Amino acid sequence: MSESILVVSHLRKAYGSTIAVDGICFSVDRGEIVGLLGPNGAGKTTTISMICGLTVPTDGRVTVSGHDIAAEAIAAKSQIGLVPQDIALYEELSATANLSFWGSLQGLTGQSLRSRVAELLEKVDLEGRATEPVERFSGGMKRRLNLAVGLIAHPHLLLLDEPTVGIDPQARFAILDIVREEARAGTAVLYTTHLLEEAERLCDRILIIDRGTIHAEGSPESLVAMLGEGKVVTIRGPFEQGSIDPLLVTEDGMEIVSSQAGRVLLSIENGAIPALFELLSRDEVSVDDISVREPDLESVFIKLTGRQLRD
Amino acid sequence: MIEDVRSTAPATGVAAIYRLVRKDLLRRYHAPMETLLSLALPLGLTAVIGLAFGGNQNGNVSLPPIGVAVLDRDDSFMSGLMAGALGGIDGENAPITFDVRAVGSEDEAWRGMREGEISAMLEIPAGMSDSLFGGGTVDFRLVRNPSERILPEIVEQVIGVGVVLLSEATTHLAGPLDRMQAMGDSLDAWPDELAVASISAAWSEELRRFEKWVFPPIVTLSVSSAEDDSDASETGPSIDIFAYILPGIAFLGLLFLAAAGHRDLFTERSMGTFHRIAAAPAGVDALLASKFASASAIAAIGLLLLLGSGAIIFGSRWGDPMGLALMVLSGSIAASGMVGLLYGGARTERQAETLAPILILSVSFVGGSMIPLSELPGFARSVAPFTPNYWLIDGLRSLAASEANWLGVLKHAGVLTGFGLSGMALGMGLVRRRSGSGV
Repeated sequence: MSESILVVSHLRKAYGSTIAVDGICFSVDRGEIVGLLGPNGAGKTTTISMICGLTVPTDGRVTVSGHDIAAEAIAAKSQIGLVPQDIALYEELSATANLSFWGSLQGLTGQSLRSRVAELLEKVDLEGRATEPVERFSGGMKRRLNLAVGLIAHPHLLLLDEPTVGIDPQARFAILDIVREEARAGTAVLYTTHLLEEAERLCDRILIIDRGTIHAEGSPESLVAMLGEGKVVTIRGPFEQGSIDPLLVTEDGMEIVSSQAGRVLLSIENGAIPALFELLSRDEVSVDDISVREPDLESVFIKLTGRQLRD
Repeated sequence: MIEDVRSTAPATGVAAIYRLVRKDLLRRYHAPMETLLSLALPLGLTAVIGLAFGGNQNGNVSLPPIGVAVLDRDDSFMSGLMAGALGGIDGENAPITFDVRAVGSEDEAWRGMREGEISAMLEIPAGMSDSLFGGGTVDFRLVRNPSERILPEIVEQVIGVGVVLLSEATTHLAGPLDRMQAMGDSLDAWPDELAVASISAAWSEELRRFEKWVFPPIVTLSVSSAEDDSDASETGPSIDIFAYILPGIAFLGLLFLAAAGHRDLFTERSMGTFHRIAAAPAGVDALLASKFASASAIAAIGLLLLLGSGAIIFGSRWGDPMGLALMVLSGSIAASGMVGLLYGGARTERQAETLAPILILSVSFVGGSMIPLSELPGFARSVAPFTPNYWLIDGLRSLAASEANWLGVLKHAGVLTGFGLSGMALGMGLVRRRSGSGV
């Protein structure tokens, strides 16, 4: 039976009349990687902040390994490893000094601290630069060290807030590999990102969040399956919003996923593609570009929220 | 299963504050420039002001010899003695020394002044000895170097005192002086011991009559007079110029050091480490308290270095070590608390950076860090006790002048600690309130 490390119940955060997070519920089990996927401003970081006790919720409850983050803050926080979006390191200190400091705050001392620091430096491939000030590190090295700090006390719950922002693919893959390894060791991982490829590649389960609400939840495959067996077609052209929708809904095997000025997204059965071209030609719809691709999370996101992840 | 690698419970409370302060001090150690500049400024200012107004009386640092030209138109035994006496002010305890040069003409003295070697010229008039011993008047002439301000003033003051002494001596010691003149006029060989002894006995007899009035001023004006206890009660505490200036300027530097410590809170926010620490078991309160503690620790180290440098470089003495420790500790807490309140109240780093120098300089001005309180208008003097500067300066000066031991500065330390802890409580409260629902 799976054990839930993180349980989020009816979590809500309002700033005056603005609702940042609107009563969301979800859980993350031991060894599971859950992706919180949404565009900037969707409520991901606010959710993370409430989970680790930085922001007091307007309503709702968060427990980590059974400890309520509000009532048993120290017990709950001691189970969390946070890897924030910012590279939260002391640049004038060395990698070893940084890890030692964060480890000492978590209760590691003496030999156990030294051996854990050495182990992590090896894991993130920084053992050769251990005594250098962090300010001399490249962006990728800093990101790896940022991740290592989050892992210093073997957390039950690892919270990763867009941990691969601004780094090259090689460094990104290295980070994703470490996260997978931690999950295999039993750590529950909540991973926020707006990068679809990362979420698809890494996560066991994805929560699609927008405007403070979770719109869908499931494995990447099950979410994509929501679009059916066919293809996703994007039509771009100088048309008004909704102007060609009546034309498209007349045909069988076509479903409008989203319709905006200059762009319409269709879910279409494989056999219906020639009919679509014929339709557009017959009605002399001015088209700049048509693309056909397999269904993906982007399409799911657009279908669910009506907007793109990078909007 | 996830292995628990912790040796102890996660750091909270005092343990967390200790680790956070250690980290801040380590960061300062690795990036010391700002701290060193904050320390160098007060030391430099003290040296400049101290040297401009006179070196310390212990003589570890003193002004360079002041060039004085003597145009001796009398060319007698007595005028030679006077010039020699002026040049003879030296030795370990002399705050000032004169480089006396005999010149043959006024033009020669003017050349020396133009070249910056001469600060003043003393002209001893022809017939000075005869007038002096014949009961007539003598008019010395002092010409000041117009391109200098302070050094000619010193020469004028010293010679002015000498003239008063000479005048008194010739009035009251006429008999022995007549005999000395006669001896000087026939000085083909060293006088016999009996003649010198008889003059000495006559001096002694005359001086004993005026002992009560004459000796104290002579002692006061001689080089060694500054250490005469009987003077201290009349002229104020004996304290060297650096020990007088340094406490005020040191506290000004301390406030800037503390400001650098509290600015770090904004730096940690922008780096993201603030939130990372807040998300750890240590929490926000430990982080905020650690910033006050770090700023206090840095200020305490800074103040110790400044006062220690003052002792080594300027020879200042700070009195009772226990009292000094109390003042350093409480002064550092006060500096940290006062600046922490400002930074706690500021909404943005830019706002804090704009307000900090204004507040620090205003409080330091009113508190007597920049100008002695006696020189300030009455209103400022009445406000001064409401500033920590006032209490630190007063406490340290009392210790330096050996007017107080640690018990004597206990009140000062109490007031300073009160300033610091109030500022800390209010500052932390403001940060917490502004953070509102989160940090």
